Amino acid sequence: MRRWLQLLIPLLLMIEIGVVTLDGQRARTAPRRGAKTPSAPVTASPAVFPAPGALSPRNANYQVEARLDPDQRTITGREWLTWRNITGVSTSELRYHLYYNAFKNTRSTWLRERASAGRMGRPAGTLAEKDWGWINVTAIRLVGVGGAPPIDLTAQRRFDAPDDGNKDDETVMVVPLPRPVAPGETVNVYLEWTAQVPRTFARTGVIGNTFFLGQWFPKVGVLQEDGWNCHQFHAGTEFFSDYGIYDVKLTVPKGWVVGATGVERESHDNADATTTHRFYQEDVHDFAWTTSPTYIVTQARFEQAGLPSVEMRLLLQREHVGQADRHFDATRAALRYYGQWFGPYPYRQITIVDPAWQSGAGGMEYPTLFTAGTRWIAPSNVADPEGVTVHECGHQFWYAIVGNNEFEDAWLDEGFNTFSTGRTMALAFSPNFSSIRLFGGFVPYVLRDIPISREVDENRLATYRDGAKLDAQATPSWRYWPAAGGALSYSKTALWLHTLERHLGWSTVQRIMSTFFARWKFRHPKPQDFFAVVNEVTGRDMTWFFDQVYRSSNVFDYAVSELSSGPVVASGFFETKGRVEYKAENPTPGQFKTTVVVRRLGEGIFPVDVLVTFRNGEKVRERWDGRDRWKMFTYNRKAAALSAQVDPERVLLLDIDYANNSRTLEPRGDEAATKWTLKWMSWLQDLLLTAAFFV
Amino acid sequence: MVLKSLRDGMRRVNAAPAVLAGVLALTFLLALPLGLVLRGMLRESLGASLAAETAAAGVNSDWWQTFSSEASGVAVTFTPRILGFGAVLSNLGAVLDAQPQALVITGAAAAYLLLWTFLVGGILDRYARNRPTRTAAFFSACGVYFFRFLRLALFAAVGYFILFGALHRWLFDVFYPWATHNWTEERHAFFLRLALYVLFGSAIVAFNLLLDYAKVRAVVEDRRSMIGALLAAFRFIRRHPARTIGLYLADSLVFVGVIALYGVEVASPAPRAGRCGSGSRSARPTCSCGCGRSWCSTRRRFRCSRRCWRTPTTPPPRSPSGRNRRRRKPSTGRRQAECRLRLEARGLRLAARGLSA
Repeated sequence: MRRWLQLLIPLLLMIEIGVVTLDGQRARTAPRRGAKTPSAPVTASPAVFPAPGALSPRNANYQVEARLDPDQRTITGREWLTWRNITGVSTSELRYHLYYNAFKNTRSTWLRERASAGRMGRPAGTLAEKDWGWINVTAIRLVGVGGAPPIDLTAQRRFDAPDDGNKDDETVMVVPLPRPVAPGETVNVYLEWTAQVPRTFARTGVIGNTFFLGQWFPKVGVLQEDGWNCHQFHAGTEFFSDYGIYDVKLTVPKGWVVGATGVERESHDNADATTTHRFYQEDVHDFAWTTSPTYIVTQARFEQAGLPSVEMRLLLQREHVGQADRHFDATRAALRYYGQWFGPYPYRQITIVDPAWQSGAGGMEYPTLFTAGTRWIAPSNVADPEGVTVHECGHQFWYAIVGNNEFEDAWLDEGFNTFSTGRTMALAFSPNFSSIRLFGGFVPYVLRDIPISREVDENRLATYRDGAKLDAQATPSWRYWPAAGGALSYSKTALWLHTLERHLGWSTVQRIMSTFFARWKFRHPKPQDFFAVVNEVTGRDMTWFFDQVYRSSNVFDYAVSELSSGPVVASGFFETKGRVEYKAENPTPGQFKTTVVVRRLGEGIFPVDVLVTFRNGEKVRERWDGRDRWKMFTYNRKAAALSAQVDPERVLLLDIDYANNSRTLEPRGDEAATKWTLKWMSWLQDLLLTAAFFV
Repeated sequence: MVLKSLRDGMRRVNAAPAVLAGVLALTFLLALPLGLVLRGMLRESLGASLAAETAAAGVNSDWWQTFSSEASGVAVTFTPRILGFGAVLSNLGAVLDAQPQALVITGAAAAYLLLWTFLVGGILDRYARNRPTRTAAFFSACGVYFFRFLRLALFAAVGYFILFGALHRWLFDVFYPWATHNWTEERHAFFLRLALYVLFGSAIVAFNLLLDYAKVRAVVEDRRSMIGALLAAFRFIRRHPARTIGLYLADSLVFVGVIALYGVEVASPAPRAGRCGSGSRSARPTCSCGCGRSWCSTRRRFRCSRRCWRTPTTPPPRSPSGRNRRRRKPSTGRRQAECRLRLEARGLRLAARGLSA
């Protein structure tokens, strides 16, 4: 009897409220009008469940209507979320990200972390009231199915801070459900909200009349087997969400240009001098948009044999009109090389947004849309905007298509993409040069003596060196030491991927990455999924490598500590012509003894080569497993040694000091030191003469 | 009138190459100890590494970044900003943006300015005499004017402190961010910043002009009171604003010309990617720039002297320098003047090339 009751009560409840659909076909129906809940706008009937040929699970589908009031800097919106539980566990709540509340006050976790990292930007006291941002959900209703009335859940909502327990943080909203959603079931939720668009703190906001709106709407978290993965908004990490269909109507002042995720399907003018634009995109996990009356729209097409063509839509600032081709060329390079190496870009269109100056929105990725970033004076031999454009476009592959959790494993997209960007830049935009910016940062000076190298500059070795020991990469990204994100997520990953490329060969690494891409596109991979692919493709157990680069903060540093070479000399008693004589020095003619000592100065272990070059041109290559703290090599040769190198091909790009990897017996250190001292003294004398102006 | 004064100033500077050489030597000697310290660090870092070969032949950016990551003391200033014309631009930019320098460099600059304060009296005296003086007489004049100019330097320090500490801070740290806070076009901000540079530069120039004329009047009229010299300078500038400012501008144009020549020389021909050029090649333009700038600096000491003397409102010189000065023969004609101008232009070029052409 008790068992019967246990089954009967939920069933009656379900029938009563009509919330949860047990039948997938019924869930496909658009949400119907409830007593006070507007029905979902009539659309092209987006498939809730993966339609045949769907690229992703499509379990988080949004229909959104939003109206921007640029004068008040507010967005008023409503959304219909159709969410399906694709896990094997039930859930009794929904969790939403309310990212804009990170900018609500200085007590939010985001701003606390930002302040502790010393990147507050403008002091909080100098911000005007309208410069802050917030989002207020004014209504939450569970949409009934089959004519059932909606259930108002507004009063039940609460905020949670699962990461740090910060009670002042309102970036995660919990909505308890009347009954659990079982695996495979679908719920339809209607929300209304109002948001104030901040003056950009990071990535999203407004400056002048240019709005860039990312993470702007209530977005449901990701339910996994171990529960909800819905982190608070952290200063050092980005986002994570499920794939679905976005059908979004955006109402902005008439005449304003709109760029957004997806393709614009229609637009119509309204009586109140506004225009509503409708954007639609399937199989994406986020939606961002931008609007401004000043954008200049340019279009081009990406066409490459073997890859699908893509329409490129560029929203350019007026002062950068001359740089349109540079943006397109960089986007083409990314779509081409990433497409050939990993897999084709699957969407029809890509939107490139050239952000307004000091908007703070540059260099950010969203599905089918990204922000680049350039300067008014942008020398052609400095790869800016090319570098940032390739990188952000590359995120379409590593972030948008392979949708890893950026809160926890940011290196999976940022690092993979930094590696891929460096490779693309080396192929498509080389040589380009380093530069410094002077006079308030406006005037570039190109350092034509310093070409950008892939190994060091594109992989950002200097950044890694500075933060190599701050954290192990396996630490969840949102828990990294504030300054460690760049070093560990971007640089370290790029360096160890490039090390793998040199260790295993590009063809192997390309197979690894393309296999990983194919297997995990439109899904949420974890680090071990990548490691498994590496082991599978290489046929080797590479755990020893990932134990070091991923699970520890060990650094690698091999060095040649000693190199000596001279005639072979012995001393003692020697027999000469039948007589035994004592000789303090008994040289062996034509024989030279060479001693090389290589050391492992860091904790990291990696097999390395040792190359000894002799004066007669002879070269001897040794293989050292790199495990011991030191290793000595001795040779008796007909010529003295000239130099010794450990890791001569620089396979181990993670080596934090490559200058100590070699030693020569014809050193030019004095010469080089003198040369660079003279150059530095020229600078110093110029500085002194400049100072003399004041006397 | 302005050009005549400028030419006369140039002539007087050119007639005293020892002063020019002395300034160069002083600058070099002051930079040398720090350079030796840096050289020791570089030598230790490069050691017997093969990285030194690349560094000796060109730029080893990889090693440089490694070195910079562990740099301390004087080595923190060893950055790519020292390369080529970037060194000149970054130093100018540092002044205009009031960027603080490393402590050791600030100390060196302070010592250098103190030495300049000592030497400037002798230099002005030498140019005022417009004939060779003996070393003892030169340093005697330095000693005579040192404490006077030290008092003037205190006044100057207060003035520059106000200009950089208050005016610059207000213009660039308060007004500029406030004005551009919501600007979305970089070029607009650039032009505003340019205007602020001009405004701030004008204030600096005006103050510098006053100090220059005060020094000249102190030497030419053997003034002991620096307040009196400042007031006299102020009165003089007020009576002859166009000429004094015109002369200053003309002098500044010469300076810009020398810098531009250096920039052209450094920029052309373009070095091969990854190479910095040989040491001698890169040393030549830096030497010529240093020489040219010294030339400009020393010449500036005397740029207004003729204005002081030739004006009928100026009281007759009372200093020994003034009494011993030699009267310059009047110009004999336009052609002769043009000829002198060409010669001066040639002299300018020679100076800009480090007198090594």
